[in-house]
Amino acid sequence: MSEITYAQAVNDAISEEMRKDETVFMLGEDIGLYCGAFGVSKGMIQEFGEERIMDTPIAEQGYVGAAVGAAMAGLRPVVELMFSDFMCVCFDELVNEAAKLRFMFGGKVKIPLVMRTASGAGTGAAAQHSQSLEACLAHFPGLKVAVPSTPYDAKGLLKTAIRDDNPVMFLEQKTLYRTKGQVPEEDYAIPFGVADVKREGGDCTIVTYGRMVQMSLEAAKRLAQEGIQAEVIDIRTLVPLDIDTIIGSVKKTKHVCIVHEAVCFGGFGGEICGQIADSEAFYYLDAPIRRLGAKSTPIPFNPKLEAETFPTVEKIYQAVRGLL
Amino acid sequence: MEKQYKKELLKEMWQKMNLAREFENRVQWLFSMGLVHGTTHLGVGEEATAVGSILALKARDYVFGTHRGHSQAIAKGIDIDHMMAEILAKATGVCKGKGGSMHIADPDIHYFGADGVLGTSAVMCCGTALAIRKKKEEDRISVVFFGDGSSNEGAVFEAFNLASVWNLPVLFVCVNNTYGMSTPIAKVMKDTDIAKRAIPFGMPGESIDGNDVLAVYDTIQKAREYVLKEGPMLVVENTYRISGHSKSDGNLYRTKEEINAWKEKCPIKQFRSYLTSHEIFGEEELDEMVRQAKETLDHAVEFAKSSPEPDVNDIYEDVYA
Amino acid sequence: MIEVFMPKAGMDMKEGTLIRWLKEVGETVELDEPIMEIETDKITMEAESPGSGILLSKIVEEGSVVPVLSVLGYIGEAGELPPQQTSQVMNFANSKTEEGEDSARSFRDAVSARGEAEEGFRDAVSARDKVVEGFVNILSSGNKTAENAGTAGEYKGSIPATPYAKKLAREKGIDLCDIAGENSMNGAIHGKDVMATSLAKRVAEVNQVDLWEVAGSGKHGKITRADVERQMQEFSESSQNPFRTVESRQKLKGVRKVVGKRMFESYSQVPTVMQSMKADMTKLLDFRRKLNEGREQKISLNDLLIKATATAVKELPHVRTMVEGDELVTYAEANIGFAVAVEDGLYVPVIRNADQLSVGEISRQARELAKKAREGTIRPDEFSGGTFSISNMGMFDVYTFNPIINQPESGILGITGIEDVLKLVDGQVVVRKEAVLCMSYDHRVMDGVGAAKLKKRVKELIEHPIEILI
Repeated sequence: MSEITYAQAVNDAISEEMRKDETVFMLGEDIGLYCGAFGVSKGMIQEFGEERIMDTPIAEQGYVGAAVGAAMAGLRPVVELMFSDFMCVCFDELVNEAAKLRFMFGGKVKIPLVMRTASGAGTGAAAQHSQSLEACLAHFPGLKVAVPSTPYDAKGLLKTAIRDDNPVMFLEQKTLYRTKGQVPEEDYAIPFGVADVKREGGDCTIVTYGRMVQMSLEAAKRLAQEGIQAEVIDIRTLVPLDIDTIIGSVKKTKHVCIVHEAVCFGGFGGEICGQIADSEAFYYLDAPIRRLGAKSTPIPFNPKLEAETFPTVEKIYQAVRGLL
Repeated sequence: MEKQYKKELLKEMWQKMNLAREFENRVQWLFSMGLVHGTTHLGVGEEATAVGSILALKARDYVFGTHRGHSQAIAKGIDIDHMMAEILAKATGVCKGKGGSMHIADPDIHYFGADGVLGTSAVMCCGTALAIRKKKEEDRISVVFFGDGSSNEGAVFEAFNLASVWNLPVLFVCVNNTYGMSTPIAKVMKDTDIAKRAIPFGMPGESIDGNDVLAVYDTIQKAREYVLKEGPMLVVENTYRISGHSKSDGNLYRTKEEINAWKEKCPIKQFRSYLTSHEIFGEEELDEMVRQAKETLDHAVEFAKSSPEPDVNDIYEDVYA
Repeated sequence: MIEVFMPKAGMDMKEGTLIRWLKEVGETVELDEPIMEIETDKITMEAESPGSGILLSKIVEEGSVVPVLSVLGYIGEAGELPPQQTSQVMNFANSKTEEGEDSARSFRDAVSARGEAEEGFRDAVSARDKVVEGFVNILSSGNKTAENAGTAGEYKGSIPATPYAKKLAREKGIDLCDIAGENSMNGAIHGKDVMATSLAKRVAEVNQVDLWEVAGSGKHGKITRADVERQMQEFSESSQNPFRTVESRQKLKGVRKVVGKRMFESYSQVPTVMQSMKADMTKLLDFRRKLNEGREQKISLNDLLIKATATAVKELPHVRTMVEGDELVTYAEANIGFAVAVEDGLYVPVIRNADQLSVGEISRQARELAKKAREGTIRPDEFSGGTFSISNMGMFDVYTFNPIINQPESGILGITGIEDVLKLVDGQVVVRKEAVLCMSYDHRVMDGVGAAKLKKRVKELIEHPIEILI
């Protein structure tokens, strides 16, 4: 075990896979000498050279589309999209092509593509550089969606993503890049579709992912001081979704609060909520399902307004208190 | 002295152009019988662009077609029975009945298919070209067909830029059939000379008669050599879509006279007169080959009709690998 | 006769308003069933009946404000006459709002004037104070309840309840209409409302007792205030007691866990009846002594008891009978299980067709099986297939015990330690050696007579041991 940052964990996952597999390469804007907008690819161009750490034109359709084509031809591209907001520029390549080609072509192609991107707010980057758009991605059959919350999860999930034969949307949390955590030195991969119970408890289930995991854990700590034991489930991947773990937990605690950074309205929490209501867990619900997410507003620049937009430890704490 | 072609090549051209034409005729007939689900885009009159271009390529070259791509698939050598089964949405279709006319593809023969969203094929084509380079494959290029309509897509310009800046083995083939759906190119382009669009990207661009299959063949053959040696290139093949945009096209945007004039310039008609005047094949020989094409299609329609529907239980198959 | 009184629902509660009666005079009322709605200065709540019976009288009218612990009515049996009510008391109660504290004091005086019986009652109910004292804390959070509690009538037809509450109600056979208005949050019935009475909920909340952990003993398995109190008591005894420190704590596992589970199932699922009979062991002990003279491997008393029991079981088909689903199944063999204590639990190895085996063979098999059980090498087929079991506690000087049936067998015969007793035999005082045969039997399979028949036969064999060998 060693303590490394989330960014380093991402770097390690790609570097280790690139050393093992010649077909893995990375492309994106300013990922070479500049090391990417968040410094994730530090040292990589020196090790792997320009042919495998490819700086691209600022043309998201162009290089994301090229990555799809390269994947069709048997390579394993890892695209870095500087900000997740930019996926809107290349939605066609991700959604109409990567997600659907295999199905449309009768199963004769594989698209082993990883689209890594920096997601989320909290950096004062305002409305076009702060969004959490995972719900849109999860909506398209054919895409897988992972949102790691710790360095350990980031590395393990990214390895699975690179080895996966499907297009994987890998949403890194930009405010977590500098957070540190224990990561084993030996090779490991975390399977998709396996939620991680980050904290056990019997009174209320908090279902969350990404940046909100840490906040939920902090809220759970406060609740514990009052004798309320919250169970914090980090779903880790939205697609595939480990609904069984959620259902099992809800049956146990009978109360559930879903927390994500993305806009609450139309957010992924609605899907989780719906699946709980569709399952046998429904009969165990002893309070309405609570959802916490961002307000329905573009993300404001002003730090006070920005903070007000998202769930906080206090809001999570209050929401759970209100359920019990 | 006029260029000599191998008889076998000319025979294959004649056969494939007629197969393509006959295929469209059958689809049209099946459609009017109510047997074709959804929509379909016919390319009657554009056969020379597909056949002339693709016969000038190597079998291993990657080809991305257009949504009006039946003739491209046929030229690339797709199995006609299974392609017709796809049109009829059968389990035996090249895409297991899940793609349909707009997504006919066969990656086994490196045909990466028709695409329903315009422009994106061009950037994906850069990707397969990138793979060729990364794998250090020799004598292989990546070719994308796109229409005059698609040539206004941003993705196509991004592809031009990417291919040229990375010097990728990409051949861009613009099939200019004069209309984007109903819109004549002059209405959406200030300068309708699409080949000029190659210039700012440092690529050569050439514009040719797309109804002359031999001119197409010659141009693409040379272009392929160029792409292998020098890098990307753009060829514009000018032709005319005699059939409507889709089966719901009422041809309100063009005159019968215009259509009839282009029917006179039909590439198959032109090629027949070349073959007979040069005494390569007699009329009867050509008719016999047309008859064979019809037979092939008879068989294909029979095969498609008698094929089973996909199993609803397989609906999730191929969503994920 | 049981007195219905104004409960003290808060440490600083001095008086309460009787909003309305929920029962009519003459109506049957169950213990802990809501009988009236009361209001303190902070909250409206339902108060449960202090006992079961018929509401004989109401001595305080709806809308009256009375001091806590005032008697409001009586519950008793049909035909019983409630004590004479004085109109004075009623007047005091009604005038309370105008006259303030003084009237209340007068009222209390009036109540105390009822004499010693009344005093006794007050002592009794003062014990309740301890339970309800903590109420004060929750009153502030109960405002929503107050708003909703009065609208119970509106719930007819459509009752807002959580899915879990509905599930519980369905399982327990409770009509949600009956608990509408007991809601604790957001105007809807929650799981806890179905599980527990209003009072139980409040007591649990104030004392931070987890209701999900409390077993209900009320009607429909509802958790009552008493259940919560019991839980608190047990909790304080088990882990809160400052005079006791935990020496070790272990996870329930292995044989102990399996035994525990089986015992619990048997104990909780089988209608078990216990029946005892004395047996004179004198001759059997003599008999054994003689048998063992010069024997290398001694025959134990247990071996002889297995043989005797097997003989009796073989003779009595009803003892070889078990409940299987909705059938009674009689098995042909007398396969006798005998309890063997091992380090962390209990095995019951089985000697097959013990009635047909010689005592020597039984002894050999029993010794071998017991050894295997202690060493943990016993195979499942060696402790299954029994048709009846015995448990011999004789060597531990146990005087009497209540063995638990090794399911699905019809019963189990326990044998206690042997005692010297003085007996009159033919007018002579003699010393005899006596043990008690303690039998537990499944009342679904046999009745008292059937169980007695088995013991009688075993007793005969013990008392005429030569028959054992025949």
